[in-house]
Amino acid sequence: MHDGVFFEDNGIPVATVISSEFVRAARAQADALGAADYRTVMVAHPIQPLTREEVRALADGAFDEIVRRITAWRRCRSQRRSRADAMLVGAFACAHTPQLLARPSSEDRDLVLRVHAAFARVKRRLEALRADAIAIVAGDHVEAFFLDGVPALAVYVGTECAGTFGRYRYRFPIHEPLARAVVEHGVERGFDLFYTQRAPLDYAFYVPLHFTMPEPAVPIVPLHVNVYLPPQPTPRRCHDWGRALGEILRARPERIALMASGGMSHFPGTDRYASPEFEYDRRLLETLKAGHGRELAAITGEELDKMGNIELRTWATVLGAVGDVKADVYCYEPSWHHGNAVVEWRV
Amino acid sequence: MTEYLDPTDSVAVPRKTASRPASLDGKVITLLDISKAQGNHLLDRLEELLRERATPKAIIRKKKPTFARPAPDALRKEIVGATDVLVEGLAD
Repeated sequence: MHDGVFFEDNGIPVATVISSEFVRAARAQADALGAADYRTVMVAHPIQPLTREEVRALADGAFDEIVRRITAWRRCRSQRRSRADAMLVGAFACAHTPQLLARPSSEDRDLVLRVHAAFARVKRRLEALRADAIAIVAGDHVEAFFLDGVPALAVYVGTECAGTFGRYRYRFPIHEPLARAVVEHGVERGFDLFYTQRAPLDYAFYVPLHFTMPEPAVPIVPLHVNVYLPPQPTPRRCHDWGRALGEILRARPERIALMASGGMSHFPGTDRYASPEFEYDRRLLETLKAGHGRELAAITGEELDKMGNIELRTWATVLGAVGDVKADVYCYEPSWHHGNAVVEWRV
Repeated sequence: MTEYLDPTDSVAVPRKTASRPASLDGKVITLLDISKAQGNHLLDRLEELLRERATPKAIIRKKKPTFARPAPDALRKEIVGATDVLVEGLAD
């Protein structure tokens, strides 16, 4: 990092390639050197156990980003951009059903693989959209917020965010300028947002990111919506917040993908676990395919609860941001316990 | 958002990054290996990709003695006088 800052000081554009484990240290060092604008190019950690071919594949994945770091390519493109080219470049909804990752023997293997294939499509889309960051809207499962406080709407604004799920240990860099802008402009627009630099990252965020994170990886902005602990925000409130969020994201210079995590019908921890409301899900997906997303905002919290769809508050948030765009349903796979959907709204 | 500054920390002078060329065509590119295992494979592949996809004037390979310390002054001076852009890696 010292070398990189030295060369930048001497008029030489630098791309420093680091593994994701070192993002935090690099950021701290750059800040300490007064080089707040200094940005690194991240590749997935760990490197040491990889084969030569796997390391070469990392270079393939990071190449475009490296060229963008040392040329004015990005700046030229943003100068040509008009207001019509909104910088909200993509919007998705992804199931976070834990069994899709943990894959216990209770699961239908082919069904799981079909959902994985839909996740892979999202990943390819994120790469094609050249997203700079993923703003991911999810509900906490009492991992980040419980006895000390339960925010209705929250934004994670720290440098990086980490969590665990089963044998998985994960850590994601945060797009801090974007996270801070969401808080500041959200509050200006009348949403009294909670913000945190310490909350652990729940698997509701991790499962979709595990499968869909583009290569090279991009930083995220975790956006919490309280879907579990009553009283939850109404779907209408989530939709309104989403509309404000969409305006904030569209005014940003970054290319941002918005992702809702969760759904569809499931009844965790109840005797209805094996009886989700699949027909309700299918009717709702038809409504979304027809481009009537705002109808989700009119559904009551009671109805969502009755239909096992309390997590659709995250979808309502994304729908507020994208407006009445027709949903492209990549998959709807009803397992014995969850309606698993993967959806894109082309913005 | 309010910025909270650590009063015990040293105060760094804010720096600007260098201005970027429009493209890599005709530029001298230095690939600096920081001497961490596997970094050479990444830089080898980057060199191939740069030759395939850009038309640089030259690609120079340099290596610093250890990743644990900044590059020696002599190497820094040599690079500054001879390159337009630089890619360094791989910190892991």
